[in-house]
Order: sequence, then structure tokens, then C-alpha cells
Amino acid sequence: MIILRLFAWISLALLGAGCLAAPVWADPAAPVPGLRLTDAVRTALANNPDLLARLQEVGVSKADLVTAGLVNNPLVFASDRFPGGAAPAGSQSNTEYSISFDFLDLALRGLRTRVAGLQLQQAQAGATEAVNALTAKVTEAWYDLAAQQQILAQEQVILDGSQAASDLAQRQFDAGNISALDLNRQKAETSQIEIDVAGIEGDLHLAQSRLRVLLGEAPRGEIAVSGTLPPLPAHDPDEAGLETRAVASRPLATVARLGPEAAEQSLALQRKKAGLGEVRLGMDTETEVNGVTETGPNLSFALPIFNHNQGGMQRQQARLLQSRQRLLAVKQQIRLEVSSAYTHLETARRQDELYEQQLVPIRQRIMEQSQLHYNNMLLSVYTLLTDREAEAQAMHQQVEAQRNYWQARAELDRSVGSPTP
Amino acid sequence: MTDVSRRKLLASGAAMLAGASVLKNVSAALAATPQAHGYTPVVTPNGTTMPYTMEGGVKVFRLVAEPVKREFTPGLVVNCWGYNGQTPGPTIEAVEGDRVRIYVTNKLPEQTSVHWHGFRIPNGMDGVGGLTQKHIQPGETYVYEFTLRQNGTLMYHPHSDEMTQMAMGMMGFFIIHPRENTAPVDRDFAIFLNEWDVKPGTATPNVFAMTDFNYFTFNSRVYPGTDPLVVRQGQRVRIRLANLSMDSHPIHLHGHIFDITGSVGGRLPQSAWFADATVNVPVGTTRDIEFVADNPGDWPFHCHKSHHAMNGMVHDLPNLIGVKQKDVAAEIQKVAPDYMPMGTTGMSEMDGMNMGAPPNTIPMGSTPGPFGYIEMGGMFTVLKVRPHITSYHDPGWYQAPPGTRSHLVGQKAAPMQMPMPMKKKP
Repeated sequence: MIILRLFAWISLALLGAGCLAAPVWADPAAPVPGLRLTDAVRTALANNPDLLARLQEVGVSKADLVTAGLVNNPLVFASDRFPGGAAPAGSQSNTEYSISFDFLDLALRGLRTRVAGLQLQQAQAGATEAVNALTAKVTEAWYDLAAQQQILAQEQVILDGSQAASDLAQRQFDAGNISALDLNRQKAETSQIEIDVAGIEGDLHLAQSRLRVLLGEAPRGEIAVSGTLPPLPAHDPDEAGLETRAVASRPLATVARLGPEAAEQSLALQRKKAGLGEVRLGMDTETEVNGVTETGPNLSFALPIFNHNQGGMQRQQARLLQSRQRLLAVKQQIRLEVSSAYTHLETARRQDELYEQQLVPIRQRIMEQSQLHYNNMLLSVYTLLTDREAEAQAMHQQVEAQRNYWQARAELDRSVGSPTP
Repeated sequence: MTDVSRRKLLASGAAMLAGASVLKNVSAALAATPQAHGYTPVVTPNGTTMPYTMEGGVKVFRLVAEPVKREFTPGLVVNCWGYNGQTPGPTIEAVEGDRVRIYVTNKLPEQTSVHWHGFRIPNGMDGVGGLTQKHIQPGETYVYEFTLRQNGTLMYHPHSDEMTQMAMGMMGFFIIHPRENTAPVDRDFAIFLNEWDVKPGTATPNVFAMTDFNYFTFNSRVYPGTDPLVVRQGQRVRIRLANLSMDSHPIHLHGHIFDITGSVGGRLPQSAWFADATVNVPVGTTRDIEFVADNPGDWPFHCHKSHHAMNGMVHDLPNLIGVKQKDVAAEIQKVAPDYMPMGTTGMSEMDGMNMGAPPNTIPMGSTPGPFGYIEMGGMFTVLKVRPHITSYHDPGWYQAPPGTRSHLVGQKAAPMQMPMPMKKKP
């Protein structure tokens, strides 16, 4: 129950904070039925077994915190010894009772609790990082599927054109107007495009499978996303300060930052133990066979002659140094992820701009001019269809650039740890 | 004599004088005037004759080699090189025995020279750059001077970067009339044949083309931009043909049989004439044909290589003759919505089509005529023979006398129609 509440809190907080990528809107002119991005993310956060398993680590840490706050139970001793043959007559059995507490355990409770508390914070930050990572994966998978749907539609146009060209070539051959050689050349082009389309259909199925698995469903099955890839926003986030912000606020950095603190507390704990093991203090009472009762305190502890926990302290020293280095490494990793994501973003934007402002309009103008030339018997119908295929190919590549942009955007949000404006 | 009678006399006299003046003008317009020149002046359709000045008994001509924009026909303007603002250059006319001096100024972007094709002249005047003279550099003026020791239909053209400069249109007639006009004609035409590769949507000839041309011209014009050859019935007509293109051209005249009477070498003896309806004009020479225009009508005069009588043809289109396209057209229209199937039944379906065209590109051959579209272009014009004309302006379409026109069986001959309007794309 605690886990579910924790998960719900994280999800709602993230949704409320806009941590999720901007949703893709269906084309208002031609809405396409299918899964919206926001719905995909919600479903994944609720159902993805990897995430749900990861979230259990918070539960484990919580349990560790509870355990750390508990003291060991007192130790009770009782014995009853019957007198032997040499005991005087009227002797009674020798009974002994004692009770003792491990006071060292009690003394170390505070430190233990602090360490467990820090580890719980790490687990919580780790869970947030996992939620962010899953959100980014779902977003990237959603955009990939949207792109594959568009690409397949465009490739279908190319295939339709090529099949029409092959059909026409077959009719020319049947009428005796072209040779078998020329007919087969045209058929080979069409066949190659069919092969390419089969590959794209496979890519579509793979994209569907990836998304389905992220949503917690079985890989095989149909799934479609709604709408088309949105146009790129007017501006990208300002790169200045992103790395600093990521290092300061990303949950992965929080996990790493808590490491040295937890390791220092653990080292203090090991020092306090100092090889004493338990330090038990209690009361002991014994009734002799002659009926005399003796009562008094008892103290027991291990003498730290050979082992005064030097191994434990060394281990914890090493873990402290390790955690400090890990913190540095995580900061570097975060900076690299932010930088890489931003580079991907810039590259994808530049390519999309070139497609949108140059290649696609040029291909469209070529198509218009080709039609004009064809209308005046200055150009072959096969060339007209080839130009149409080239136009569709340019649009296909632009879709890939747009997908790359939105995936880079999700990657950037994840690497920063929160939505970028 | 009364005032009225005097007025009547004066009026009638004035009328007689006016009538005589009109008659004289008509005669001057229609009749050859050998007495003014010693020869019937050559008419260069869509061109001009070069004027000259006399300086010390020498006929002085001035040629300027320069870039020229030439309208082949409305809708097609080509970036050419020519002389004195035109291609072909202005026709030079002179008489055997004349001493001529020709100044050549080069305003081209490269060097040039002028070769006098077929001339028996001093070697140093032959005009071959690098061999008989230095090339004329841009901005320079050279002078050629020689005495004409022959007669015939000759030519002038560059002999520097000849391939480029002739492909760009640099050539012209040099007609040397005999001293004595022993073979007078009533009408004398000069037509220069040429070929061009001007790709659709462009304006500059591709000078590297060797065999695949798409425009074929009479005096750097294509039909319907070629002027008709208007003659009066009964006139003796000479047509001089010159060819500096890359192909020979068999030029055919309808309705008449002509004699081939001359070449660069001059007038053939009559025993060497032969009659035909088609004269092949090889590259690098000229042919003169003569006939009496005794058959009234509109007579096509064209190259009989059928592609040479079309405009802007592209030659690598798929052959769709006999190919049923209706349902495959629907498939193609899914990817190219404006696609229309063409070519199943030939090219007449293009007649009158007005679906827009690339800039500076004209239809292949679709000129409205009196009975539908005349599916010709390129090297094509019309010899218009009329019995009663008072000028050589275009007299319009010929109206055949009743009973002399082909018609649909079972019906009377169709009346002449107004020129058909251009069809628009549905």
C-alpha cells in the first residue's frame, strides 16, 4: 500500500510538474484514432513491470529503516540444575535466571537510523530517476511509432507509383513496344521498392512491440498512435545552464550525492563498534541448592584484542572514497548526457529545417515542372513517377528528422531531470 | 471652253495621271525591276538584305558579329550569335565583277573570323583563323577586300570556333548575280537551313549537340513563325537553299515540279538540270530551284525528314502506341493527380492542348488552319500562289474553287472555318 501510494505520488507529481514530454496532438483536420502520448505514459507508469519492480526498492529501504530503528530483544536465561549424589539431604535444585540487554545496540541506534534514512532517500531518488527514464523511453518509442506510421504511408505512395509503372511497362511489352530487357529493368525497380516497404513494415512492427512492452503488454499485437509528428517548436531550450541544472537537480545526481554522506555515517557506525561486538548488561539471580539466592548485575562484551573492527572500518573507508568518486563520475556522465542530447537536438533541427525549407519544396517544384513537361510530351511518364518517388522520399526523410528531434527532446528532458522550456 | 469643261478636262486628266501612277506603283510592286539593280533583288523571308555604300567604285559592306536574341516564333526566344542584330546575317548581294570591301567588327565574347564559302579569292582573304589570318579579337575590326570572279548562291560564316559559332547561328547568304541577267526570275527567295538544340525551359542552344536537335529553322524561324512565300500565279520563282547545319535536308514543295538549277558553283547548264519535287541540300553547300508558279493555292514547302517539321520534340519518350492505359492511368493518378494518359493513338490528341508549358517552350506543331490544326512546325512554310494580288503581303488562306476540295463521302465539301480556338485542359 505504501509502495502504491509512493508510486502514485511520484507519477502525479511528475505529471503535474510537466515532467512528461509534450503530448502529440492529432491533426485537427484528420484525427487518426490511436494511443495519445499522455495516455501511453500513464499506462506505462501504471503497468511496466520493470518500473514496478524498481519501485519495490523503496519498500525494501523503508523496511531497512524500520529495522534500523529497532533495538535487539533482551536476552533471557533460565536454568534449573538438580543436585547430585554428594549433595546434602534436603538440597533443592539450583535455579538461575538472568536477563540482559545489548546496550551497544541501543547506543548505535541513532547512527543506524541515520544511515538507513539516507539510503531510503537514495532509493526514492532512484525511483524518480527510473520513472523519468521510463517516461523518456515511452516518449521516444511513441514518436518512433508515429514516424514509422507516416513513413509507411509515404513509402506506399512510392510503391503505388512504381507498381503503376511496372503495369504500364507490361502493357507496352504486351503491345510489342518494349523489349523483355526493358520490362525486367522496370520490374526490378518495383521489386526493390517492395523489399524496402517490407523492411519498413518490419520496422513498424518492431516499434509497436517496443511500445507495447513498455506499456506492460505482450510484444505481439497491433497498436497505433494518434496524429502525426508535430512541427518543431519555434525555439530550442537555451543550452546555457542546462548542465549545471542537471547536476543540481537530477535524481541520479541526488542518489550519488547522498552516497558519501551515507558512507560517512556508516564509517562512524563501524568506529563505534570498535570490535566490541555486543555489550550486554543485565541482572542475574541464582538460587543455590542450599536455598541461598544470589542476585546481581552482569556485564559481557568481547575484548577487542585481536579484532577491533579494523576490517569493517577499512571497508567503510574504501566505500566512502568510492562514493566520492562515483559522485564525480555521475556528474560527468550527466554532463555528457545533456551535451549529447543537445547535440542530437541541434542536428535534428538543422536537418528538419533543410528538408522543410529546401529539399522538400525543391522536390515539390520538380514535381510541378515534371508534370508541365509531361503535359507537353517533353518528359516520359516513367520520369514523372520517378520524380514523385523522389518527392515522397524527401518527405520520408523529413519525418525521420522530425522524429529524431522529438526523441532528442525527450532525451534532453530525461538527462536534465525535468522538462526543458 | 467653259470653266466647267476646263474643270472636267483637268479633272479627267488628273484622274488619268493618278491612275497611271497607281498602275506604275502596282507594277513596281509586283514586277521585277531588273533595270534598277541589274537583277531581281533576293527576298530573305524573316530577314534583310545588307545595304552598301560605294567608295571609289568598291561596294562597301559592314558586318558586326554580335550576340543576338532571335524570336524563332512567338513564345520562343533564343540567345543566338549573329551579324548586325540578326541570324542568319543580312544577305549580301553583289554582281560578278564587283569589287567588294567588307568590314567585320567583332562584338562577340570570343575571337572570330569570316570565311567566304565557295569564293575564288586570294588565300589571305579566305578567313580561316590561325591559317590564313589572325583571329579577330573581341573589339577588333578586320577588313576583307576582293573582286568577285564568279556568280552563284554562296555563303559566309565563321572559321573560328566554328562548331560553337555556327551552332549559335552565325551564317549568311552572299549572292553573286551574273553580270548579265540571262536567267531572270520574277521572285527570288533565300532560305538558310539550320538546326538547334534548345532544351525545354532554356533559351541558349546546346552547342555540343551533334545529332539530337529539337528545333529546325528556315532563316532561324520555325513554323508558324516562318513568313509565307507569296507569289503571283504565273511568276517564275527561284528559291535558294543554304545548309550549314549538321544534317542534309530534303526540301519538298507541294503542287509543283521544279528544276534544280544551281549551287555554290553557280548556275548549272540547262542540260544538267533535273526535275523533282524534293531537293536534298547537303551540308556545306547550296541549291537553287526554279519553277513557274502556275498552280494556285497554299503549297507547303518543308523538309521531308518528318522530325524536322516538328518543334521541340523530345526523342526518349516511351512508345505507347497501341497500349491501353485507362485503368493504369487511375493507378498513376493516385500518386500524380494531374496525370493524363497520352500517346496511345499517336500525337494528334495534343492538337490545341493548352495546359501551360515550361517557359520559352512552344507546342510541337499545332497551328490553327482553315480546316483544323496544321500539325507541322520547324522547317515548314507555305508557298502562296494567287492569281490576282497587288502586293506580296500574306493574302490569307486559299479558297479553293467549288468542286476542287476533298470532302467526306456523302456530304458536300465543308466550308472553310474560322481558325479553331486552342483547347484548354479539362
